[in-house]
Amino acid sequence: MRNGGSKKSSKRSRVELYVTVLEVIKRYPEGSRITKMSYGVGVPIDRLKAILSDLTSYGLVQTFDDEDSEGTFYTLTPRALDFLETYWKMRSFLEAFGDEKGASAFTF
Amino acid sequence: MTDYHVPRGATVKLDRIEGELKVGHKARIEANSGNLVTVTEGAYFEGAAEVACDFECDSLQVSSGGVLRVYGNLTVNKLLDVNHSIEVAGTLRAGEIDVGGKIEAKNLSCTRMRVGGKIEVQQQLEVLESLNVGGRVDAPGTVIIRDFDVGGMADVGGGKISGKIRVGGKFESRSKLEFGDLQVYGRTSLGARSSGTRISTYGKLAISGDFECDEMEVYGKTEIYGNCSSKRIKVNGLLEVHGSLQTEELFEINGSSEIDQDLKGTNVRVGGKLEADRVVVSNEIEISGMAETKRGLKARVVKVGSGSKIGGVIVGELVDIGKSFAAVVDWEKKWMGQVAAMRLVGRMTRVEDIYANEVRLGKASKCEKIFAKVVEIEEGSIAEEIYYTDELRGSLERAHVEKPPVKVASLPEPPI
Repeated sequence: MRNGGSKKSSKRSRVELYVTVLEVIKRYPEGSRITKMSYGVGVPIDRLKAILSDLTSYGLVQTFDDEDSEGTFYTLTPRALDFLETYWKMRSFLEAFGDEKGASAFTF
Repeated sequence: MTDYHVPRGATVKLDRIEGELKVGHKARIEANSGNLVTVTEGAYFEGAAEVACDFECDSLQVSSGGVLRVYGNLTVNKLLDVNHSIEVAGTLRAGEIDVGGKIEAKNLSCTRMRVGGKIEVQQQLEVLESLNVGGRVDAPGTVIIRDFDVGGMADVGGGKISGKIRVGGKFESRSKLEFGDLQVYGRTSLGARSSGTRISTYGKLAISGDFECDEMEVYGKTEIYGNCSSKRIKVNGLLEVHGSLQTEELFEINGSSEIDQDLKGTNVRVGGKLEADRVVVSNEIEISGMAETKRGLKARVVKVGSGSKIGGVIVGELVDIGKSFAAVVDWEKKWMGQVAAMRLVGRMTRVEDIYANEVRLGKASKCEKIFAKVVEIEEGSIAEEIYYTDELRGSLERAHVEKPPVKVASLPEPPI
């Protein structure tokens, strides 16, 4: 139960993890809190913070602070939506070409 | 009983709370009499807790980590908001559901649901409006959903998803699914007799039996193990139909289509490769690529672009062989059409026997026998035999006809 996200027998690649984080944040257009996000992604908060830092530096995620609820919220940038669409298309092309390994393992 | 607080780690027996219920971490709630606890206002759980009976409340919130386990049915009239995860052994009914991690239930029905991680519903999953999931949906029973957006994977038993369906990774419906607008980027698998308004796939699509759809766009590889019927089909990848294919409006192939039995349609445009047992088109077929039939190709108008190759007999009112690319390929300005055209530059157009009212055999075109009322041949064309009833025209001296053309009183019946 600890891992609320998709269960995989093999370790997720870095890109797969990034995509999972982005897909979870995408569900919260009003902004996602890191705690709830960590349950969706299935990684501990300290590791998720590092991933979010990477995604923010790539221009895929932006943060804002809500003074009323005293917390940091994460949302996707338009670039992230482009990235997700490109990722899923590219992955499906590779699968269609029969490159299952390439489809699940291409990394930055 | 009015507002009530269950201390951390305590086990309490309750009946009906007229007000709010606050529940401490790792507490357990049991029914005092019968099997139902009712809370008229909100129920607030600190974190992990157990409810050993049916539970009904106006709204429910689990504010921190841990799993809320309900061993009966759960009814939440308004919002069910769970930071981490919830497991319901029975039926879960709610207005809106917002879960960060995972939600499990035997049956689930709600108006809207948003889940960061995963949904597991053993029997029926019903979402009146939108289902939005970051990770994965496992619903091996029946689903009834309007809009469906899943980031990772979705595996459903079958049912109806009437609105927009978008799945990033893999989508599988184990039995018949009625769908609205289905867009899957990854692998898709649908049960036999599935039907819908529109399907657009980029990866692999497999359908285990007959299939009906208003509009299909295939960018990856599609395999249909049955008969397929669609108003409009556009293939930019590979379409394999292990049955017959019927289209009502337009069938456009820029990639490759292999049909085990008959292709029946109104208008067909081939910019890549078409294979079928028999092709019957009520209006026009334009081929700028390759078509291979076992029992022939029939259309009112048949246009074969220069450099194309057709295997099997051709039957039509007007058959135009060796037409230039500009005329044939102008319907597809996209790169797939251009690539198809470029592949054929400089090649001879090759067809087999032709039965028609009027045949035009263009430059650098080769055919076997022609049976037609009117035949026009251009210079550089090659025909084995020509039989005509009305007129033979064109550059006869600059064409090559292996046997002298024969004017006949009547033409044989076309084989299809």
